[in-house]
Amino acid sequence: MPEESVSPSRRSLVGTMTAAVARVLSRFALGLVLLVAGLLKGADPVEFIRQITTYGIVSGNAAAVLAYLLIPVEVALGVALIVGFRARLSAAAGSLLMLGFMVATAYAWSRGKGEGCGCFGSLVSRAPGEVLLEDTGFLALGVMAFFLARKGERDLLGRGIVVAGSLIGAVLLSFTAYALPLDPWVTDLRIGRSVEDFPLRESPVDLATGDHLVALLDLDSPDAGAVVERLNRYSKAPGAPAVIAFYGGEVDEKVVFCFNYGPGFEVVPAIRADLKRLFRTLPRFFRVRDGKVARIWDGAPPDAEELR
Amino acid sequence: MSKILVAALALAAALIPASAAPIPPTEVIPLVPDSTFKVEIDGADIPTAETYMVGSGSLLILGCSLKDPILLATSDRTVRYFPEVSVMRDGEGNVSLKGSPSDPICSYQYSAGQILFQAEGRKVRLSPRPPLVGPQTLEAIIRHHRDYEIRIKGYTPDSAAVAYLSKYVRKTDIQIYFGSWCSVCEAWIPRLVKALQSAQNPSIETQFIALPRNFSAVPSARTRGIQGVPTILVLQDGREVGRLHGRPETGTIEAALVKILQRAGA
Repeated sequence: MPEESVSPSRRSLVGTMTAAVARVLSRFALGLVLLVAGLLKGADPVEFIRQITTYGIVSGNAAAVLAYLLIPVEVALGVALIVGFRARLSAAAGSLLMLGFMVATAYAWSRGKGEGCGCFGSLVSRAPGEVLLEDTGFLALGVMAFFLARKGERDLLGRGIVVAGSLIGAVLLSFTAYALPLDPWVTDLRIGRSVEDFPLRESPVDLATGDHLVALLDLDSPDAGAVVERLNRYSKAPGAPAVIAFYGGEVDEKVVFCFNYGPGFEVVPAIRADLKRLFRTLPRFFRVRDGKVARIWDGAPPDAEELR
Repeated sequence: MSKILVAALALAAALIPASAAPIPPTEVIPLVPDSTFKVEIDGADIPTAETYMVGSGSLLILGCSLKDPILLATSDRTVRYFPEVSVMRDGEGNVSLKGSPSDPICSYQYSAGQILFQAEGRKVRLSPRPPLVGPQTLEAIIRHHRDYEIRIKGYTPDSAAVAYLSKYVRKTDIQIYFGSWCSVCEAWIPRLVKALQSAQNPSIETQFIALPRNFSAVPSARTRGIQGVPTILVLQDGREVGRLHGRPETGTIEAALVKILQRAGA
């Protein structure tokens, strides 16, 4: 059987098309990753500051400044890559950013900080090794997008306006995040969800059955005493849901807290990174009826009437 | 039986007012030894200090080198002296109180998981005791963290797993590497303990080895390849036949142990 011959022009067409697809895909994929990561961080900037601090490179105000700078940069770069604004420059900047994240992760890992990155806010938590592997893939996309980028772009002004708009939007998002009702999108806690999907397997009571008021607490908050006082009243009230509280931290942290405030309900430690999937700010409360989230309260426990 | 009930009621009657009011009543109040607090004065650890719970809302500190024992009451956050003569110790080492404390000498501050106050011009700090380290008995663990006892009592183990464990004949050692600081350990180890207690099988022996937070350099953890806590090693004839690491992916921890034993064979 004779070999099928491919004409040089057809081969060139296939090559051009493959390059075009690879160019668009690599640019788009890296852009989407940066955009989503930037938006999730922008929705919970305080958590991003905390995560930067755990890396041990910068802390305090420097970490806050870095966080509030990185968020809009990441979002704007993501949008620039998606819309193809200054594609080569954007790909180079995106790759450099990714490289920076990898260096920071490797540095933190080498110092025994194994919490993982804040790459996607608190929604996705991974080990540093996984983060490095994943970032290597994103870096490869960036390098590919850089080398495949076409010279000469049309509608530079229009795309530039979109990128500038995204930059401003990201700045606004990070400064107003906690006033915006973003919790249903950036946490796992939503009305109707099954409690079995939550990282609460450490619960000493079965939350899948019965009526429970679950409190997510910050034990160091100055308001913690008042919250415990109110929850204690509910835990004694007939017909009220059973109260249980969780906090992200180690066992020792509750010792003095429990002595000092005398909670009349279980106070259960959980791994912070796991529990963080359920909140942006604390305290947070939710009622679980027969294993499903029936209602959510932020900032303060519900009134007694609301629990009837 | 009725004597026990009467004694329990008398004890409850004695303890309830103590927890409700800052000043304990004048009757004899038996104290519950506490080993969760570490006492420091002017930054130095006081190893002779003993702490006792007076009901659920007060703490008595003995042997802390102040003029008299100190009573902390959470109801009004006050610090008072309790005259040394009012503290009684019987031949078995049980401690009880009789009498009344002084007027408040100061208030205490609660901050970042610590209790701070100043007495006789000295700064007193109460904080959680350092984590347990090394081989431990269950009693020692419970003394350190009473929640282990509450979790053990409150857990109903998987009956099928308990039935299997109770009939398992091969001599098995279970080494539980845990951290008294670790939240996952506090949740899962009491469940395993309850299942093993319910099985009442003398062929299965349990050892607890407490690890500090940074355990990578601890020789026993390194030798056994412990990467995280809790890690539960299942040994037969000195050979590891399986291990559980962290919380089980699904199901109960006792069911996960049963799977290892089934693989190892009866």
